[in-house]
Amino acid sequence: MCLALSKPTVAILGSGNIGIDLAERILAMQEFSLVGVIGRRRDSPGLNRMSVAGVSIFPDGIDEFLSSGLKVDGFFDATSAMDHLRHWKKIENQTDSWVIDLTPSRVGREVIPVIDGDSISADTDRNLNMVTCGGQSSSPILHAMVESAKEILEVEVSSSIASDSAGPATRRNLDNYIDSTEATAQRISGVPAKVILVLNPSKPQVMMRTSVTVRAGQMNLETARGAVESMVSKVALSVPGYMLVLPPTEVSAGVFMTTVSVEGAGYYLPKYAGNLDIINAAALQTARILESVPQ
Amino acid sequence: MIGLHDVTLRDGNHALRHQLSTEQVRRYCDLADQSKVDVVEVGHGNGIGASSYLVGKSFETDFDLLSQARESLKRAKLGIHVIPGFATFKRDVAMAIDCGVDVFRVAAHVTEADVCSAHLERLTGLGVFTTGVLMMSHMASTEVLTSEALKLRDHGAGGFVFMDSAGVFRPEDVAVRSRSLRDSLGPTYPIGFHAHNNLGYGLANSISAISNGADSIDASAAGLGAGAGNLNLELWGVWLQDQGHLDESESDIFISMAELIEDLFTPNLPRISSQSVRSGLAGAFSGYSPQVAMASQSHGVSTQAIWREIGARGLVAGQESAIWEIAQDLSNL
Repeated sequence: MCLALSKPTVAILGSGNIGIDLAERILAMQEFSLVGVIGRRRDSPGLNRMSVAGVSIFPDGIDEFLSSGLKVDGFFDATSAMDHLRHWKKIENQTDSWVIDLTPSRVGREVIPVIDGDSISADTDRNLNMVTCGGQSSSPILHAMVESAKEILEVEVSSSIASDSAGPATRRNLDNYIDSTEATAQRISGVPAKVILVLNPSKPQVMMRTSVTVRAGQMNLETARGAVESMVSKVALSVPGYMLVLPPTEVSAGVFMTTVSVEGAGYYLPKYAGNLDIINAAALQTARILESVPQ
Repeated sequence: MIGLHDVTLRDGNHALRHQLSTEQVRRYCDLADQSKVDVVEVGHGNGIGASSYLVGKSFETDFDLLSQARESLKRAKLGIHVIPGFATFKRDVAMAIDCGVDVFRVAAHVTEADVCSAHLERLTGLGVFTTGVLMMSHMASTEVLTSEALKLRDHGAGGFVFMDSAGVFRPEDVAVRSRSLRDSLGPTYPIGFHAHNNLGYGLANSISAISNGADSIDASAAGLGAGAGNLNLELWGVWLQDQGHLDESESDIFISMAELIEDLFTPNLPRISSQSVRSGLAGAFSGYSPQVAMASQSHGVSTQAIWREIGARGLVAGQESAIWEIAQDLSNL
């Protein structure tokens, strides 16, 4: 059997930092065949980098790719929420491909691969959304805390990230980030969630940190610590920089907090950009599930 | 005319661990309305929408506090502080608009002005008065502070305030910044300064700001505020009277406002303490005091070591959860 031919094929929309990091990850891991990177500008540094690496580039956008006759199993969309709406219409109507959306468009179902993995299916899911970096980093430990508690009364997720890792779109509208992250935390916990994001400009840049705080009717701290630790190791299989820095701790009566830090793998993005790393890792993990890539 | 922005019922809420009640708002606003303060700012210490385990839960909702203040204030304007990342437009700012707030201060860490852009632009579009605020302004150079202030103005802010959130500045630091801001923002643009007393420079810094181009000052009755508190309103009144801006009876109302605060909040009154000096020297956010005390006690490490580590790790406001991690790390040493 020729392994090279059996690889699922993918294309990436967007030649910014996230798109190129994802591309270099795909090239390094060799599980998928990267058919092309689609951009919007001929002079994009990201596209040039891809071209040098021997990847086909499509500087005139998705129409150029679709009219090329090339077919892929799936797309990753690392553009913007607004562009995704346009891209999705074309992908839905003109192809049979799935799309994994890394923008905060909230068009597709919002998934956290380590939690929702079993429910993801290529037959029913053609558009899956990666929520936010805060959603990807908090949901696993939130899920573990929820499983260890009798009754969850309140949930809070706060993240701090290096200023340099927050792109202009994120900075312009933190409200989108908060809305999307709150929706996912509420889905996992069953109660309304409060989400906070703080940008820290310190140099050297700080690693992303996410704290999950829950108020619970009852929680066994030992159980919670075990559950959180095992969940962290599970996530770390695809995000090696995902680390527990504060195990579940009772910070006041009935209120429990746990904190993880996320260091990036350092493909194209710097290591401090753990927030961008975890969303790319989640996208790739979701693609593996969709294409039943052995793990 | 020197503007006067009263932050007693907002920054003061830090000292009260955000337990301010509507009854206290009513009593204070009734008195403040007879005084010469231009704006009374109300809400959670970290601004509306910030009630949380991370920075402290409010005793009453922002809606209830603002509604009470709106009812009581006939003359003075009602203001809020809002930090994007804590509050969202849809959930929190829209509520404040409905409550009839007059002055919207949109705030960010000193280097992060652009996170205010969406809120400022939407508010400006609605025709309400906005002010851009940069917090922890000691963590950037004068040049960066000034260029970030220009960004806020470009996003529509009708005025600007720089905050010495950690109470680090000396009068000459404030002078240099005030002059640079005045030069860049133009002769008529409103520029305010917000002091903290951690190293005892609140009054001297405020005078320095006014003498070097700022035209508005934040003050708090009895200094009620985070850390060692803000510039004392009653002391500012004395200075304003000395300068001929107020007569004796006008200045006296500020003293009565401080008296009320002292009566209402005796156990919570901020003071310059060994802790505040340590936090000031470390350049750490004044609002961290309660969490530092709690984490110190629970992990058996000194507050001094925690303050120093907060400074060394360059924590910005809103990273209270990191204090627990620091205490844990120090206890494992």
